[in-house]
Amino acid sequence: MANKLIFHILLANILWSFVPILAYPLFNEVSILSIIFLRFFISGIVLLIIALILIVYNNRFTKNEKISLKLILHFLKHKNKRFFRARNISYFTAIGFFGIILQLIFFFLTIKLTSITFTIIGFLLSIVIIAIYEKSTFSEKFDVFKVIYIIILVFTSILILEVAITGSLIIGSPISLNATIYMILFSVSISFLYIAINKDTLSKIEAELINKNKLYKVPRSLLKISISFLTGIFLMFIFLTIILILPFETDITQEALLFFSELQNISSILLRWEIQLLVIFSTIIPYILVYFANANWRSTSLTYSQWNSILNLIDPMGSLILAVLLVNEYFPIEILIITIFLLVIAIIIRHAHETKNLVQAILLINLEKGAMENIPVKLLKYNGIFQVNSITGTHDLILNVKTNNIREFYYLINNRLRTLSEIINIKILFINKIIELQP
Amino acid sequence: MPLKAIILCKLGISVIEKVIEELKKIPQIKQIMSLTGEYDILIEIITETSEELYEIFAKKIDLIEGIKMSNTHVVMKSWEK
Repeated sequence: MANKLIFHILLANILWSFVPILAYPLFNEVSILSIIFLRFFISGIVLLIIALILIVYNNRFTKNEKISLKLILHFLKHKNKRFFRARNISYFTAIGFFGIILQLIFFFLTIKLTSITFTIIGFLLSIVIIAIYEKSTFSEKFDVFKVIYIIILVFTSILILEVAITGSLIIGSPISLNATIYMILFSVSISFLYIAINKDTLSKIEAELINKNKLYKVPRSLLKISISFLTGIFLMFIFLTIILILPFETDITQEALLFFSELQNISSILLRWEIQLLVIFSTIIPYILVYFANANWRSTSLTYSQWNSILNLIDPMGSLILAVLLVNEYFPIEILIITIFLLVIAIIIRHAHETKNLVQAILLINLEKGAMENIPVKLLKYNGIFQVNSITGTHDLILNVKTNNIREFYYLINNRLRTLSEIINIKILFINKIIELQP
Repeated sequence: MPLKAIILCKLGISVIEKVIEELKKIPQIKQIMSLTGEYDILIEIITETSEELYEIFAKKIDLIEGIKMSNTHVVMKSWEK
């Protein structure tokens, strides 16, 4: 099952790689903001409806634990300790606007002013930014594989930059400072998205419900992303109004004016096949694929987010190939082959990094009297703990633990578990190998 | 209602591959983990009843040459994320 779910992530990235290809032909005719508005407004509504249908289906046609409106409200009001203790509704809005909407605005602006090729550098730069962030927050160690991975990405970025500059000079439209700034801002926004989206936490009630009703994870994820899209769009309107009030003009000002004038005829833009493909195949379907994968992930080795990190280069790689093949962007074939080769090597090295440093262990826990009621769910909320089993015998709990590296494992044991007064004793058994037999 | 149990075993020297091959023949065993520490392997087994668990343990697992000692824990409740 895990192999099939990896394919979901792969397919989602391939579908996302079509985004710039589908949007590009529209740039001369419609505002980029109209494209963004239609993409995320329609997708947000559809994903919200799918989430609600799944909830109704669960409550009416299955014997699963009910998902109530009270729970949904609790979910939205729950404070996320890993994201400034903001309520989930604020957390989703931040992801929606800063991570998704602004990211697309800068992404499309960069493409419009330069090329898809130049914009791809922003993707690669974001991976470097994320790596530096993880190093600075001590959540990731730079081993040999990670260093080589970053060097390859930097080198590939330089290669792509040279080609992009040459290409821009050939067509007589050199890359402007504005375009470079937009590309960097795109890179920063997408870095924010990747970092923030992994800071999602479950409340105690949700952790209990997930164990009674596995179906809950899918509508929860769909609600999360649809709310992010819709609140992001809402904030986009406020943002654009502020842009229009500013005393100076920017590229976004012109796009905003065009967007507001197009609003009256937005339905005619929606009828364009590029927009429909963008909404259905490059937004709704990939998000359903990845959330289904996340909900059903039962990996014996790497986690869903690790595979996501490994395969996220497929998206820019796909966009680059499609830009050359379908949009006829300038990119000498020999350099394209070298670039793709380097990116494939980078994916393999990233996989090696994730696998090599992975720490898996079984913890045998003894609890003090009276702690059994609350401790299991409390432990499940900690990063790295995937399964908690309450058992008979000489120990009270068996925990299945998986961390990205030994540093994270140390943090979990010493800064989390050993600080709990309810835990009397911990025995650590490191896992060398897992053999899955029957499903 | 299916019964899940976790069996922690200590093995003799250089027998792990042989023991794992024998364990693979038991269809009720879902997962085997090779460990470092106080125990050498962990077996996750799911049966329909406690009688079935006894039958499999007494007539199959306990008779495997190489397993020196075992500790069986029945899982009362499981939480996953």
